Amino acid sequence: MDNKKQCIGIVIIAIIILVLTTGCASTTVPVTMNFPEAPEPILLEPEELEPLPADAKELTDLLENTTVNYGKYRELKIKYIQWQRWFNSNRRLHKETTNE
Amino acid sequence: MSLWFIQLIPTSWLDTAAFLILIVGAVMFFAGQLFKYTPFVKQYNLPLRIIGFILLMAGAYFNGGLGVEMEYRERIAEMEEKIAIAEAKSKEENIKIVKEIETKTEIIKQDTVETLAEIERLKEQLNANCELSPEVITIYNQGMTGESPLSKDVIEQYNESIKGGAE
Repeated sequence: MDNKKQCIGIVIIAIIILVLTTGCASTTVPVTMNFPEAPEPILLEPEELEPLPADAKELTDLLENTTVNYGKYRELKIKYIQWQRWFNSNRRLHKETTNE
Repeated sequence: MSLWFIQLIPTSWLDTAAFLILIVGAVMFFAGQLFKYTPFVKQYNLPLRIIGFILLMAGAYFNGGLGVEMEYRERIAEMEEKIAIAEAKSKEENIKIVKEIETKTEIIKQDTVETLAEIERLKEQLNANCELSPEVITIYNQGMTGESPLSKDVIEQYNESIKGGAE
């Protein structure tokens, strides 16, 4: 009779262990989203503005220098706007994917 | 303890295994009950029923757990699909960004060349009554590079405050 009780006890313990170990299985989805790659042109170093040469004498030297520098500023402005566009689109995609 | 290794086993194998465990458990358990008075077999009655009961419980649990596992796999597949779509859209957006930068930069470069040509064309007229003094050049360059005496002082103070903070 004692032997029987012992057997039943062992069986109950075995079942409890089995249920507990299986029940602890993780249900978190192990899939993560990689950080998005930014396009190369917006990762480049910005160009330095060109100073006016010390031997410049004429007004047109100043105008030429200003024109070139304004051009560099406008190029940089485009890249800056595209940075914002890249960030906003990727943030939207991340939100849509992860439902955060 | 996580049962990560279950994810490596194909679904059909898991299905079959869970079903077999349940059936074998049920057969063993009820066989133990049915043949408990049969000679030669009755001595195996108790272990048969115990093992049958364990297998029956395990089979029932695994069949239930399998549903959860399948749902889990569906969620993983769904997530992977969403990520693949998002990555493809991100790449498409990058291509558009690069194209826009290249197109607009080209336009700006053309604008600059045209303006420089216009300055060259009107050179004599523009330079007729004006000559730049060295002071003009110095002030102009200071404004552009941010190297005026005031900004130099401010930058030095800032650098020193950073050093002080680091120490």
